[in-house]
Amino acid sequence: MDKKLYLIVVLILVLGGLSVAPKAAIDLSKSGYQAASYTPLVLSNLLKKDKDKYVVIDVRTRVEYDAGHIPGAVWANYYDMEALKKAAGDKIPITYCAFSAMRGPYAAYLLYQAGFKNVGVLAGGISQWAEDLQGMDSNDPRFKTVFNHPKNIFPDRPKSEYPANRGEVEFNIVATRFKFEPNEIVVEHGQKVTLHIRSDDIVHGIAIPEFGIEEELPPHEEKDITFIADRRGTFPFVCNVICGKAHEHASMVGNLIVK
Amino acid sequence: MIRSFPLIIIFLVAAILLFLPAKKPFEVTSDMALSNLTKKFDIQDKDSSYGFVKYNDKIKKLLDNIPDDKLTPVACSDSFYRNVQGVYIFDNLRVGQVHFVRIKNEEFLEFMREKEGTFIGGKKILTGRICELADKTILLFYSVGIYDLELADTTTVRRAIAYSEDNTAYIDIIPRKSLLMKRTLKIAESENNIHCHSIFQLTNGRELFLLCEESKEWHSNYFVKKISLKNGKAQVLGSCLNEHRDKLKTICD
Repeated sequence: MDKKLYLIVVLILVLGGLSVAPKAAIDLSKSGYQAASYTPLVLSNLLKKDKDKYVVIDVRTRVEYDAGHIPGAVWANYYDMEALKKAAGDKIPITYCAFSAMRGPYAAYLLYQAGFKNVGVLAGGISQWAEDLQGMDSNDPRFKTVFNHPKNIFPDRPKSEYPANRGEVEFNIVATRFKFEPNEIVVEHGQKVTLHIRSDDIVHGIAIPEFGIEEELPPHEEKDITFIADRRGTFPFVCNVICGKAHEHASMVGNLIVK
Repeated sequence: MIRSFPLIIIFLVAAILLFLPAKKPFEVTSDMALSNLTKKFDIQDKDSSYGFVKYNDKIKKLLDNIPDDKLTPVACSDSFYRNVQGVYIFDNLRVGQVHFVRIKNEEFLEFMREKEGTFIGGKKILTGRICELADKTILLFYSVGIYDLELADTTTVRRAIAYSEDNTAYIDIIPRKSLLMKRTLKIAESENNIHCHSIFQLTNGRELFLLCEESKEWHSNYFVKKISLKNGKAQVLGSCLNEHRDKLKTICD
């Protein structure tokens, strides 16, 4: 009788412990890359105190930028490495887009790979700046709202020649907070690539803008993405559905390498 | 008795641990902009834009017949929707009359993300509303379903949500104390878009009167439901079906 009672009590203790146990911290370090993030208020104060140290880069389209942007922000398209480097100069770059869901983190990661080790993103993007601080510059006298997110935001790349008969490759990718596993895919120029991707926890997304790919990843469902690796180079991919705090979400990145 | 003493102590410790006032998954914060505590919410009986009838005088009388002292005050936020990027945005709140307002409460956002992680078949949170009682019990209303992402890309996510499928409307009851007692009640289901965020009133006996709205091709349907928050029992008190393919035709029962 005593043994049964002890077992019941141990079970209750375990259940009780589980109900009050703190959640395990999420490991951000897998990719070796961690973007910083700044709320609008923190960024605003930082720029007042130290404006020569930081540069804010609006990485949306030119039309969006002209409609309204953060005072003092310079413009560069999110996928244009050379323009981003020029915009950053010798300062610490902080990028933003509409919500800092895809374009802002993508540009930050490009800059990191170009050698800028202290990149940051504006948490919530310009929509959060607009809501929290309201003050914006605009080149458009009819400026009303910044929320003018265009539908097609992928880079316009001409069709490339690629070698034929390079075969097909497939990869399995798992998305969890906050990493893609694997976060580096290496393929040959001209290969037909199929990515079998699934999320193992919450709703994620994957965007490979240079190949016009943007896909939502509902949990526990595999999605297949097929494309031809028709250009050589290193092409980042990011999570385009906000899956955590800004610095966590922006750190969920990877590279597609076409050799 | 001496032999059982350690057992009693262990049992008491276990009981305290289980029923400790555990932290709620999220607290209501100022960014949710809850209204003042209200006993009766004013819901228009007709849609002001299209003239759809939502409920008739029979329902109005039934609701009016419940005296104020039998009602529990509730404070509610504006309704919100989830956009494609996973941002929760209020339908009507604006800053500077222009800029929309989002929910910034990280614990709430985390709670919703984890909730979405339990859905299958590509379902996501679509719309919702947060309410709180004076005793700090939270009532979280939300609808879950699937919408066409390509449609969301070519129009707006709100339009895509209006055309969504396989919807279910829920309430999460999150009490002030003890994580173990959080409950989820299913309010309604539809092959199309349905949401049940509009509250009329809540009685002291925890009977909730609310309005569900269902939209499908050429139809906008409204159901007034009474739900017991104690046992989850639901009852349709009345419905108004509006067909608007050509001329508006309304049938209420």
